[in-house]
Amino acid sequence: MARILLNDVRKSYAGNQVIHGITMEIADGEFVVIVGPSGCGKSTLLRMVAGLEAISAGTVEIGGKVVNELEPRQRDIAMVFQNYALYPHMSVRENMAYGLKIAKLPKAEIEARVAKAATMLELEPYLDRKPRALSGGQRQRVAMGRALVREPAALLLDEPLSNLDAKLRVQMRLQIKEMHLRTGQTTLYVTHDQVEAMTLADRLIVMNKGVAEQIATPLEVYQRPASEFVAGFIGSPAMNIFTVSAAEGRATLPGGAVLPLPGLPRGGDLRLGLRPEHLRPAAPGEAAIPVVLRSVERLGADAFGYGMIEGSDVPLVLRLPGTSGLARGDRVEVAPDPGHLHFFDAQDGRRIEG
Amino acid sequence: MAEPSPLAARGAGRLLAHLWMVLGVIVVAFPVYYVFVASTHSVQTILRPPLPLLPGPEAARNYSDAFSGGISRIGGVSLWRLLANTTIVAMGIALGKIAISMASAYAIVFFRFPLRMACFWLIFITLMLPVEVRIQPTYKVMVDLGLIDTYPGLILPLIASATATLLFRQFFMTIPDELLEAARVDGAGPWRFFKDILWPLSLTNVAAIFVIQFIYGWTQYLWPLLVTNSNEMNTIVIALKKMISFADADTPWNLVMVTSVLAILPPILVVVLMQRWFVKGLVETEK
Amino acid sequence: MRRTVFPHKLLPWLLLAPQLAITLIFFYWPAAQAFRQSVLREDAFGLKTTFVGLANFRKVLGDPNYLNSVRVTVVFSVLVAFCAMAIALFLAVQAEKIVRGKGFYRTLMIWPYAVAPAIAGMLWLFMFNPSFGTLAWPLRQMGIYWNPLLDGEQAMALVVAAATWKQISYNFLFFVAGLQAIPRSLLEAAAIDGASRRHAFWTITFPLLAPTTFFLLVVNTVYALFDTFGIIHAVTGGGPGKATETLVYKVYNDGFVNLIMGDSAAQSVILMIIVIALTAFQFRFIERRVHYG
Repeated sequence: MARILLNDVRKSYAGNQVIHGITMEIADGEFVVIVGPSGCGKSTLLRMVAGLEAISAGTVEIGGKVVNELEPRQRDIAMVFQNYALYPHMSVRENMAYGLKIAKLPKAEIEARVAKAATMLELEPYLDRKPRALSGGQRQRVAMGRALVREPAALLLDEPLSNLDAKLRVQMRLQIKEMHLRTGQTTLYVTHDQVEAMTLADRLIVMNKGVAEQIATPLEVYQRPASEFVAGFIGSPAMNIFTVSAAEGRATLPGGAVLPLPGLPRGGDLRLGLRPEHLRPAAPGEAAIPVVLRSVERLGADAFGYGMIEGSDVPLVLRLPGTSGLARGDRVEVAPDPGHLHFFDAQDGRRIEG
Repeated sequence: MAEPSPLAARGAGRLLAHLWMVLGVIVVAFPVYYVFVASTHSVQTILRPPLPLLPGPEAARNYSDAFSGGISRIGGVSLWRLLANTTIVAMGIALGKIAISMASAYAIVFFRFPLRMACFWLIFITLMLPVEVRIQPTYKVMVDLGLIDTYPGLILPLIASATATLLFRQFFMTIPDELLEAARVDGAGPWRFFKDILWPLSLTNVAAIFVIQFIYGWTQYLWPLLVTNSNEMNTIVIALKKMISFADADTPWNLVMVTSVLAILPPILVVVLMQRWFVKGLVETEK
Repeated sequence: MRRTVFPHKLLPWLLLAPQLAITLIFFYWPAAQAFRQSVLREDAFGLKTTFVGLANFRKVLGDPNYLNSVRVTVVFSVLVAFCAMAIALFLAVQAEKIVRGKGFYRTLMIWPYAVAPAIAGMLWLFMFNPSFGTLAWPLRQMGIYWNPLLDGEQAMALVVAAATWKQISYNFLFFVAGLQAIPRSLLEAAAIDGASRRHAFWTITFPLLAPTTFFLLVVNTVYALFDTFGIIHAVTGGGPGKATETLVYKVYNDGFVNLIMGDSAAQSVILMIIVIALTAFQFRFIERRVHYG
């Protein structure tokens, strides 16, 4: 188990930079999730830590040792792949033992470790089966087991749950969390799924176009997104973000309504972010955002209203109580929760503190 | 049991199809069957047409005679020696091809190095240079290297072929990247990855290529004809041709027939016994 | 393109070395020699060679014997390719109509694949030997004067039969695979649309088999051009009167029997050009169909 240090890590392909300098310290035993849309470079970053991609510039340290020039096997890591990459001709037992055999561990030790992992992952009945005789969830657990038996300094997981169906994914997510609590393994986990990211991570790296937009705890990312991208990416339904023009503590909304906002950072054009769950019906006479509903989706406990700010074509999503009687065509006035206002620069999208 | 083909016929149509197949099989298998029948009759019966359709009573005598010196008297070399030569050549070609083409396909698919594609094309273009179009100069190389009438002379020029390399390359390219990555993370280098993972996964392909190349080696004609002068180094096919060319009234045709059967039987056995891999390998890899 | 590879730089060269060495020594060097010799001429004693440019080619292409062997080759190849493919396709279609016993028929169908071409020739010669061939006997009984050793057309018929017989297995396996690869739903749709079997075959099955047919056309042509040397050498020796002397047979004959090196080399070069054209043709087509990635 070890600390991982990324120091201005960059990657370019044929002069084209795809990772633009990422610096981060991952503490011993920490669970860090790299999250972002596809093509943001999250897998590339993980593969650089694994040693499967060359590092163009910067350094990666694992356990106090710079590993840039080391082969994957010299880095003391283990990895779980999206498609599991189980050796198709080996039994579950052989798959898990393979790395240990190469490392020339004593037979008894190998058997003990495989047995332990099999117990933890409930794989004992399947140890002598070939991967093709296993279900998707079982294969996933074998892939986990193969990584865990190595007892590596760092455990790397590349979208490990994305090939599972929704129900199994939730189950495995809980199991991974449980396992991390038990083993205390330093873990780097890549996903595009924000629910996985929020629930699993001690800390998140939110990536976009090769840049780490924000590195923080899940709660911090939710409460104080560092950029408009992060604000839009984390949270479901996504945050409403639109341009307002601010002057003297008031913001003119699209459609012309004027709203007094506490903590407006400055005048001029700003991007205002309001999460659907932080909009509530306005009291009579209160300054509010007028919304015309286009449709209402009822999920049971909650309902989401999709509409436009009156007099404009800016969409706005509201969270409503499940019992709400509102319907298409209704006009509602909503007021933002003053504790949950987000402002972003209209040019570079960075957060502006109010 | 697999679902019947959507082309499957019913009733009379199916019966007719069976009839056609029986007819086809008779035409296709008859020549082989008939030479076997001939090998069980005496010379007199063979030379007086028509030959009976069923095996005759002379099988034991013909075969024991052929193995115990009968063939040496006509061909100047024992049947055992001919079978040994042909087996050595066929196995040498099949195993040699598998070894060198697997090695080169491995290099081309799993490594990056300067001139990689140039090497690939260099090998690929040999597809267009069958022995038949470069007979004379190749023969001269053999003479210069002193390889006439040697096993290496019979084997070496035939073991470098683009086909096997291309087949292995094509198969290796279907191995998912993640499998190699998992193996590297597990600590496997090039040799271990090959031995523990790639080789076991290639076995079906190896079997198919073995069958195809064993047949190729066993049935070689032009090349052994050129590089063997001594009867001692003949393959069975060449020896058979010589027996027939120098045939006269005294030729023991019954023994020639025995030799034919023995020239045909081993490759047929290989194909029939390894049919499953052979058919799959042939059809899947050559497209 | 493969994402991950091993980082070694020397190892791949070691792995490639055997194949490259053999390829260079036994393929490229002789091929280069063939090109060199094709523009040289040796004197009668083989002591002196002179550069003669394209004279050997002119001589070869103007030689009536060569033109004869071009004609023989075309007739032979077209007949073999057509017969071997037509019979194999017919049998493959019959085999697909059958539900039980397919494996049994296939096992018997693949025998000829394992028989050497030269031996295939000998088998057919044995059956049709004018003096004691069992199948020549009824021909004579019917009043046909059968002697392929003297009659050019009969000789051609015999080698075509042997060459076709040998190639049916190969074509059969590919056609069966091709037929099995035709999507079931298309044939079912045709049946629902009321197409008769015959109609469905020519409008659906046969067009969809085109890739297989095309592939086999090239393979069969190459087979007829080159691999049948053994059949011709063992059965007719090019005769009677050059009636079965194909291009490959003539290269061999001029180079090894008559020892006319320049001519033989020029012929080799022409053959190489034919093979290159055929291979290029095939690959243009295959590249379109198969994605190598």
